[in-house]
Amino acid sequence: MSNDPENTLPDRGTSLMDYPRGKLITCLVPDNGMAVMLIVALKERHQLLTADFHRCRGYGGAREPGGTSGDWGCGTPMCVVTVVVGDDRAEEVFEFLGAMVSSRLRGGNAIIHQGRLSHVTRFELPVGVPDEQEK
Amino acid sequence: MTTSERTITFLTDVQLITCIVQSGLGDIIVKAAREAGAQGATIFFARGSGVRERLGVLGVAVEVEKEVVNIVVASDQMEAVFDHVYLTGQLDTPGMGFMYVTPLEKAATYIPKEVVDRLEQ
Repeated sequence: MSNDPENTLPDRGTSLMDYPRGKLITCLVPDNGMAVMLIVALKERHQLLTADFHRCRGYGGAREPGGTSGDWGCGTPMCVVTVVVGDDRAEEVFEFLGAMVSSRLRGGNAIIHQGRLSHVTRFELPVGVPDEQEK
Repeated sequence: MTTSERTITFLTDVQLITCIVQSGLGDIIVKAAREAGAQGATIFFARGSGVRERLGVLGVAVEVEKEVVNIVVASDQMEAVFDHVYLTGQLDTPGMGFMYVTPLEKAATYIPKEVVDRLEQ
């Protein structure tokens, strides 16, 4: 490791094992703006900054009788929202997201699942950073 | 059904199969998963790193662009889906891709009423 103080990471007295365990909650929703809405809601109501989303193609899924597309053809535009939470808040956030997308769950074109993370780092924004403004 | 009557049925004993393959092969993986009994899958694009060099005397280039396929399956289906996807995707060929399984604690999605009724009996 370099002795140059400018190229050395600050010693914060922590190791990887000092960080709390957490959960990764993943939510698959239609690509209709809902993903951004969920991320904003997680920030405003739960002060969670560790959410992001990406777009994907969704295939299959159980559909209500008479539903339009249980097709496995070219796929449906979907968004995957992921959020990392501490163990202690996972239940609350999972239920919150479940409630937010419940109508989609009933329509068969959404799924939400939760898995365990063995190591999680903290994420904080610098003090004084303003919220992004809508254009 | 009103909002207050809504309930979420949690699924347990589910696992997430993730398969990372060369761009353009995602649909083959999804088809294989379906054949093995999976109920759904998603595909998204990614950039891979690692093997970029040309392989062997045939000069087969390994695409840097990748497709990531996620498949949520019941635990008792996992091995069947995993094996079929592995073999169909020819993941035993160097450079074709790799896959792994993540245990999930719980999941929720739409479950047809007749299925819920059957499970509750």
